[in-house]
Amino acid sequence: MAKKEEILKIVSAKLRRILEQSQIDYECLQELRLRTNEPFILLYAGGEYFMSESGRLLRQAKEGYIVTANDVKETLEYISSFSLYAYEDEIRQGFITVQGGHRIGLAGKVILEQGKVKSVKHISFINIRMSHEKKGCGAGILPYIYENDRICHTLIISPPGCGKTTLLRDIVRLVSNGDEIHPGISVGVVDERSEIGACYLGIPQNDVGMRTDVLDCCPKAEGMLMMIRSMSPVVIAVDEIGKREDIEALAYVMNCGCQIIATVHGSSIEDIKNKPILRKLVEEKMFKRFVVLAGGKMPGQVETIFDERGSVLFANKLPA
Amino acid sequence: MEIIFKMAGSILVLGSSGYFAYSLNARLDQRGTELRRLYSILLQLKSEIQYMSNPLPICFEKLGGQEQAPFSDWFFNMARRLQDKDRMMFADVWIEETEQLYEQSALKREDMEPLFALRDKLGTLDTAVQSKALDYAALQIEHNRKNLEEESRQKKKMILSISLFVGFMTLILFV
Repeated sequence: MAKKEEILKIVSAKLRRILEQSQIDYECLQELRLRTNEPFILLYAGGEYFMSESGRLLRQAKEGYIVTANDVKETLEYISSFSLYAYEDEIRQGFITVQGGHRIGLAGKVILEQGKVKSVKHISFINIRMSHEKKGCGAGILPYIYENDRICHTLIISPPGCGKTTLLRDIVRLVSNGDEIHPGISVGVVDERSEIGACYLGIPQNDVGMRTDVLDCCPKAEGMLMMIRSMSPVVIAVDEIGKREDIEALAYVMNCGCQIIATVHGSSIEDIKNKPILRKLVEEKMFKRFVVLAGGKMPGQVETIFDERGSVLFANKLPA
Repeated sequence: MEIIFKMAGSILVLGSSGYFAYSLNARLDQRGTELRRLYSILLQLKSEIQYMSNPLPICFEKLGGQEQAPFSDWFFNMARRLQDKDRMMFADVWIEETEQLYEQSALKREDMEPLFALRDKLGTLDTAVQSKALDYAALQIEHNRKNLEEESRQKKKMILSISLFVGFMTLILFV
């Protein structure tokens, strides 16, 4: 119910009426796509649908509602709380996070300044990606990443869209809250793209645990150092490391005695070894655990967990 | 006895015309005070947008808490309507609530025009455009206030003289 309200609050009056008439289950809704003068598209329960003016889900675009420029303009006003200027940095990155942690992707005409993206104007494309927390999805991994009651430096490896951020968020929550075996510990999240905590006006919209501090929209390398100086966390969590400065900051954090849980794009340890910047992570045994997620149609599914020597600690026998 | 009634009647007529002059002058003073407040409000709104980067509903709530009626009502109503479940577009809310302010305040139509012009500027991506629009609106408000100040000195004297003159004329005619 909350999800429905969160979405109806940010779409134009016309789209609001259409969605109100529909019978869709918002738990199965993945994306809403608004493209000026193109049909209104929904990614719903794993399939792509159009929607008629009466709120009927359609397989064919023919009778689908056509999104107008006014729909996009109005939606943009609601998404930004009538204040696009307040989201200038987010728009530069191409997305805004709204109440409920839903992520709104924006595209239009890019304004460059000295070769760098300054802003985006004439926004004509909006992609509303629903936030779906999967509480408990990290519970099965916890026994493998704890060693002598201490969290190991852990790297989650996964291709894009396979649930690494969802998994990281849940691990953060579990580690922060603690359980009967492991007491909760303070976790610092450096959330450069607002994906882990999905902060809205500084407050995490996703459950990241009671002992978690979030540095929102902060560059990872700088944020990790800030976290250490200001919040003295036991564990630092970062999403999608990949730049040289990220790796340097990771090394510094590890030397400070903090434990790291990070994610990286890739399909296997070998894949990481082939990337010049990331190779160091594996070769120098910076991480003690590598959690490799299965790609394809099973988001969040763990394929293998390795230790720093490459020994398999867990292997999921996935169907071929 | 008759003379006492005549004197009382004269005092009443002169008192009424004096009070009429006083209330008209007070209205002039109120407009001046409201223009001064409005100038300061526009500059505060500018700094909320430019330096604090607060979204408009939050800026309005904040300003509503700092101001007195009719401006507090103007801001609180706007903040409430912008956060309503059944939202309307900003320009429509701004126009409707600014019209309401016009009805509740001593401001004149010419004082409202700079405010109405802000409907397409506030909330856009470019902070520089908004900042300039707010500066321009504040400049016009200040210009109106200075004009009013110059006019009001003469107007106040004129209102008092005319009111007393009308009072005396009434006395001559009826007493």
